Amino acid sequence: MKASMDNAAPPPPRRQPFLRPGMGKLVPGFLLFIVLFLIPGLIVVTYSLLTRGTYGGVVWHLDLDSYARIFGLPNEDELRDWDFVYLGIFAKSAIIASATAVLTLLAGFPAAWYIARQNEKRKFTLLFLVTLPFFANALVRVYAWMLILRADGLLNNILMGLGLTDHPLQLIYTPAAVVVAMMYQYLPFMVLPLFASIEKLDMRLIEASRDLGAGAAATFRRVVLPLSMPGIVAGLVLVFVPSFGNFLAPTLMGGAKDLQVGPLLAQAFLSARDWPFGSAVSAVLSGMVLLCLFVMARSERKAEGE
Amino acid sequence: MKKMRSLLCAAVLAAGMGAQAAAAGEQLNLYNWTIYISPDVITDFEKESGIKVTLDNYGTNEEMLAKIQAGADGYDIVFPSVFMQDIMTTLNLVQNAGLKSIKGYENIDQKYFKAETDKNHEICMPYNWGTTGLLYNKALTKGYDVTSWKIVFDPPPALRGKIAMLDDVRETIGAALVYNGFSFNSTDPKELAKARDTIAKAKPYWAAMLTDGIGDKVINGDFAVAHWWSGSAAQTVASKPDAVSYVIPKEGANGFQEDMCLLSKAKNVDAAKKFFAYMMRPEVAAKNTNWLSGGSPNKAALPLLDKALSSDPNLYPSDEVRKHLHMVKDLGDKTKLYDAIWTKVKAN
Amino acid sequence: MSKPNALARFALSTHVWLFFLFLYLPIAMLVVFSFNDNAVSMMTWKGFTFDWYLRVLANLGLYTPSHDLTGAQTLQMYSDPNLGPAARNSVVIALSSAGLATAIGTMTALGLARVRFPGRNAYRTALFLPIVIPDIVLGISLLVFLASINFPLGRVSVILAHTVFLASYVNVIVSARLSGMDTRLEEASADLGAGPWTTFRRVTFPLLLPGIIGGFLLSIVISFDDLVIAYFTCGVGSTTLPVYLFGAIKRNVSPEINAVSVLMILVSMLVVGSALWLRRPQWSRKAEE
Repeated sequence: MKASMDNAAPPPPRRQPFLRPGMGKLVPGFLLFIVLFLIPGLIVVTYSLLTRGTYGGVVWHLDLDSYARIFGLPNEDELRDWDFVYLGIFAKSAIIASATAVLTLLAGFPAAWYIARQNEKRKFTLLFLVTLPFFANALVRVYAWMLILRADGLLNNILMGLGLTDHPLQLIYTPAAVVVAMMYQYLPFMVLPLFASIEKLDMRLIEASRDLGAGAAATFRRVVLPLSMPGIVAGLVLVFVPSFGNFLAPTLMGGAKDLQVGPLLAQAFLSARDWPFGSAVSAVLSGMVLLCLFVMARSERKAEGE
Repeated sequence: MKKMRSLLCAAVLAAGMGAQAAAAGEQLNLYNWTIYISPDVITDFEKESGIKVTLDNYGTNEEMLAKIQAGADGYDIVFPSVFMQDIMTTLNLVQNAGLKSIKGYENIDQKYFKAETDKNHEICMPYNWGTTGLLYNKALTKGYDVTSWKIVFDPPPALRGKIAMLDDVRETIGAALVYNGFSFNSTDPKELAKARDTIAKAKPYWAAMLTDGIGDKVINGDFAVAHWWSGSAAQTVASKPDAVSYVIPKEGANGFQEDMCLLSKAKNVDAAKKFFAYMMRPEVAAKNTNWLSGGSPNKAALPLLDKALSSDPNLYPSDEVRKHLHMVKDLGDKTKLYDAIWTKVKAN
Repeated sequence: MSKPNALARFALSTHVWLFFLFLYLPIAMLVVFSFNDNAVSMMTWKGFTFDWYLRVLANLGLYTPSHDLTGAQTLQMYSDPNLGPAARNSVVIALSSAGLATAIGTMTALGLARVRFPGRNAYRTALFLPIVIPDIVLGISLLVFLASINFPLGRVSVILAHTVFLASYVNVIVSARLSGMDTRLEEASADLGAGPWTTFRRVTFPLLLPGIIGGFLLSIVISFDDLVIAYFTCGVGSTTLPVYLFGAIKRNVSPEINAVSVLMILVSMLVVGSALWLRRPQWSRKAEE
């Protein structure tokens, strides 16, 4: 560790100390991260291992029951039998989030392809147009979909006006409505990484494949798909993760009837006031998110290695 | 440049915090259910007393308790349901407002002091009472019996998918208990299991579980029948009386009551006490109750109420009907039995 | 070069058109129907009116209505006087947290770029976490934390909560800008005798400025639009506009909500629009001259 790489004085003969000049700048950010992110996270994990107080809060008594409850294990003292309701909630959220991710991919890939083929100026304008709605308030955008899908909403009004149906269809308060709302929230998260990957594609490879006699489908399957895989994986993860823990869409579009992880978390804290249990749900949710990110990072590194 | 930026940020932050504390003159901070106090009542109070009033809202008792426990200091007055008042008094979150020494105390009908922790009838002021029943669309429910809970727990095919129930653990489970002939506050695991099964069987036929935004959906036909509170339902009926109506199911229902309480950590105790005195005045209580379409515990206010309101048997039920009204009681530790059922119910 | 056939090209164009339609139709619809003179059935067009916007302005205290705006104040059409304070809270919180976050994030980006220390890469990756963790987890962790140290919930708690993840956003943006920067300019400045502070002030900072401004504007918008975190960490008199709007939407009492929504979209898009426009290719090239 003898080489000096910044503007400091000539390197000391021994190993450089950990704290070196220029690191003062990192202090505020570091403090912020530790005090307002790491420590709260640790407190949540700690709470998840304690017992709930009768009216909320925690009692300092070590207890793994919260996690046992999530994973469905029975508990004699609580008169609880095997019960996988919470795993079911996680599974349902995962399925809906996956559906959202896949549909976003199907919608976003052609669009990203098209944009990547334009000239510089148009590329920028189109990407700008794709990203702009994202910065309208998420609440407002989900609300817009409420107005479209309600019984007296735009879609039903159009369908009835055209005579395609004689009574309003039940479009809102369904899982499909939740998926549509989440797609609308996260479409740019899919398009941007896809675009980044597709833009790097060398068109000559595609030409070569066609020249060698491969049809469009085969070229897509063997050339385009593998080369844009990093973008696809990134897009899928970037849509799946926030969809999985989403609170707005299931609450407003799902009719609060079928619990998903986001509303479950809110309910555990604000309604049931079961802080240890809510903390455990939060910890499991965070764990799953970190897992997804790990997978994404691995795939990126693998792609770069090729 | 870095220094300037830090100074700028400090200035902005200070301005933000300063703005919070700067309100000159007296202040009163209310924390109430959404749309649960007449805005005119507040503005009249502000004009008369010169005290600036802020109003924040919560959707459920539990949400309010969670926020207060988590440190949402600065509120002076909250409006808990009676059972929540008991909980908060036990937890020392609520202090004795000393109502007996406040002018107007004699206007309150003593029978409305229902809290178990307030035997001396002086801690919190009864604010509003009502029932939780069914708001229904007359056209869609024609020919069906809307006077029984059966219509939501075992709906006829035509009404399936057009039912809305309250997203409230005690209300919905309580209704299921009463439908099965049990007590609204039962803690018997067998009875609770039956209630849970009733709900599980009926849930596929429910469109949604909400606490707000219900009225216009019953009017427009999204819902044929909706489980709702009498005051909000009455407001909807008043806006379109030929389209909708409200009924208390015959098996029994929740007779709820909210009280107005002074928080232990209240900073503006004098302003709060002035507000208590103000709300005890018959003409103010009547104005508020008329706006809420609610039930007034203020006997001096009764003659001043809208005739349409006080003569409606569904809003001011006879003593006969009152016998079937239960009130939500605090169940202490057993609350988690309800919570467990609730999660199960909502997850499937 | 082999050309894709006409059918494929047509399909692609159609898809792209539908794609952009999907993106903008809800917003366009919101704008159109915010002018709908129909207080009862929001989505049935009855006529054109500015009244909903006038009511919003009246509630913000910026306008005194001279006539009864779009129907009586029936109990269902409750006009909420909490709109003004909520809007004010949102603005103050957005500016404060954006300012703090920009300062802290920029410093962090500079520190990470210029100084190599063991664990740098790990720390850099860790700083991504506040952005990717679901906001509900963040909001709840902060609520639990603040409750455990008895810190009062109010404006300051929301500002602190926002600053945490906004600083990460700014860090990412400024870091990207730094890594694209040509270090030879700084070295040249040093060779010509300028001290480190002067070099920063005259060379580094101006080159970073578009990134810093971009980060600042982006932070304002994200803070202004945040619902979930503010929902958990707000307290007395610190209800923000999105939290207020969430309550109003659940109550669904007035088409005024549409006017408020459109105005919020306008504000967000204007701010972000200018941020993104500043970063367009031509502008940054000019700054580098």
